[in-house]
Amino acid sequence: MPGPAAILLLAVGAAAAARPTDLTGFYAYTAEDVIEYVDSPEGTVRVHYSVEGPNQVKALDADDDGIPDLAQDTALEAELVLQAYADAGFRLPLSEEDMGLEPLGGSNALDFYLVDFDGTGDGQFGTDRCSGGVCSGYMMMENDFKGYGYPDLGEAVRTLSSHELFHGVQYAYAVDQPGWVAEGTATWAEYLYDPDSYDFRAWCGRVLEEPERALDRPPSGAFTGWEYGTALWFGFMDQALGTESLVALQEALAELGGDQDIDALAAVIADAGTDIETLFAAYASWNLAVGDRAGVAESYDFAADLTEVAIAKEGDSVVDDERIYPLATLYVRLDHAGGPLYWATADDPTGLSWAVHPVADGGADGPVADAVATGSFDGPGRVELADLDAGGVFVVVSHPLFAENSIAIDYCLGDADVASECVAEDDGDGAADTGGEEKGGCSSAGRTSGSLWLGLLALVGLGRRRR
Amino acid sequence: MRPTSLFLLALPLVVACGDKDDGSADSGTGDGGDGGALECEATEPACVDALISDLSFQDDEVSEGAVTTSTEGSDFVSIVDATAGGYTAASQNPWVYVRFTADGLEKVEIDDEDSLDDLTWDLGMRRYLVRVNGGDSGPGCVQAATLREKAYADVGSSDAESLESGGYLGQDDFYTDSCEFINDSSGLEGSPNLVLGQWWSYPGCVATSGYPHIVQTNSGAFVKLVIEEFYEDGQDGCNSSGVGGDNGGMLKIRWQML
Repeated sequence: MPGPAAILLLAVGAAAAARPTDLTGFYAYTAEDVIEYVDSPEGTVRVHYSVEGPNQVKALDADDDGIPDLAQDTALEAELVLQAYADAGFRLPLSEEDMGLEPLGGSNALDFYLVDFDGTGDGQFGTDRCSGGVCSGYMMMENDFKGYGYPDLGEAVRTLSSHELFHGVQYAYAVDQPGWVAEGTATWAEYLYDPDSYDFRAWCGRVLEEPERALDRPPSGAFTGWEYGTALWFGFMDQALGTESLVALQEALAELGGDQDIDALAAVIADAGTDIETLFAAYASWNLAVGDRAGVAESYDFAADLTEVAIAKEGDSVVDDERIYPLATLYVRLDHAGGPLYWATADDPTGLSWAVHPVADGGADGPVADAVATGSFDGPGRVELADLDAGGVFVVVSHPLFAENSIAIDYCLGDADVASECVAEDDGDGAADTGGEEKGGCSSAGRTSGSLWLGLLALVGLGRRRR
Repeated sequence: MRPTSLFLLALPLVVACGDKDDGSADSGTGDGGDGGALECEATEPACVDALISDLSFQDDEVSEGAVTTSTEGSDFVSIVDATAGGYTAASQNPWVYVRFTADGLEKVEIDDEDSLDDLTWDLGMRRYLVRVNGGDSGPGCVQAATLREKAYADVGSSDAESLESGGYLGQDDFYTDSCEFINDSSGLEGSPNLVLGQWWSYPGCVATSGYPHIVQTNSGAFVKLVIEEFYEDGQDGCNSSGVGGDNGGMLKIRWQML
């Protein structure tokens, strides 16, 4: 799948900011621009555009009504976006009136400005005034999309309207949300508005490229894409807990503070009757069953459209070391010869959860089956994960907790001989020899006892939700 | 509490923060040219667990980025391919490690996690980030300072000695004592506070400041350097008008042993 087309900028918060019509600022009209406007059918959005000058809007006017189609289409699309957000239960962007300002665009509608971004971005939600942690604002969008990678103007307007206007929604709750929440939910909002959104799917691939990264810890760098890719997690919350969980998250951020992302997330998950350990372990398994591995195991509605998750190690067996960060996952693929499959480590993996997914048709790779065994590690030792037929098998090890540090382990995965490279074989009384450690073993739910977290998911009414 | 950089010169630092290693690291010296006055003892960075994640360290993968050096008068001019797959892929590619030698800049073939207990490298580079082997970035004793008021050509050994005697040389410092990340002042979220960070600014692209720097290597030798280009083509356009050039991360470094 090629990279996403959008070059979406972080929305900019400021206590008082000039609008493009003030002829100042990074994205602004000039004195040479001749500016007109068009209102949306219901009057909730006003689109300002230039018909002459450096920021002249794309001039195409197919219906020959004297109004450029891009401006007209933008007004309609933005109005539909706002209606979709309202229908989902979100607050709408605050107006100037909400913040004690006079109408800055000549009406009480949300103002939308089509300006030339000159390739440095393509959309932005700007703020007029902030108070009490919330802001009112306006929208800016590229004026003609010349040189941009969108397949058509409709896709561009849909993507940018839904993404950037969701920043306006966020600003009605809490302005200081961290990037992985702000951009992740805004990218998810593209999908909420347009379930076929290509941009959303493309960005989800960013997280699947690097599943060993903690969800809430973007890498350093000018633009890594990670914050946008976390849309996958919010897409998971949407499908597993319902869209109302994303509304609840915004409400929790408003109550706790925009920077209290983890506390807010924990509160939402608890209110949904589950916990992060259960939920994240399910997310880790869903993320395995995507792309060419989709179609059999439980996963997203759009699972087949995603790129496959990155596999850290593969082979007949694996002996390796790994750091598994909180809210991150290790994926291993084995060509299993058949029989018991063991995990062993002399380190303490307590806090890690695991799931075993065979390849559904017994091949080396391809659509995976639901987990045949799941569990949580409880101290160093060795454990028989599952007794399997020969074929490809995936072992998913996640760190499904809100925690500060990674869990670092040297581990062995394979048959009994391989496991013995990390931990000597059980002496027969059920206690593993962990090289001097008294505590040993792991809790598990094997093939016959069912899936631990899948059972919990069923108990709290989670699971795949069709749109 | 973590000691200051001057303290580091005298005493080893062994602090762990959620790290699986035992805190020990190999001792030794780098190969910093004609220096050798300093015996550097490796000390593990304080926040290894956060460091590996925040700076996207890669395990078992050495950068394929080339390092070449030519001479211009008494200067070395080195080109370091720190492109790391481009800006969106950089966090999934390794850093390039180099050391200063009397024969030019030499690539050190280690992976990122090896850099945590290795004294043979002086600088680590990926895109616009340049780490020194010391402080929060590495186990070594490399220190540096920026000379904002001087031109590269005017920097001499007396400047280095003044900086050292005055305690003005510093190391990378991007974690608090509790391993909270410290952002630099660039305005880019997630950009670590690196001692050599003043070589660039971000007016919408990576512009070069032209500031010269003094670096003291692991062996105690002094080097003066200036990073002249980030883009293989189009640096001037970025510096003058904020329009990015082509192939960012091809660092052009002019340097000289002092």
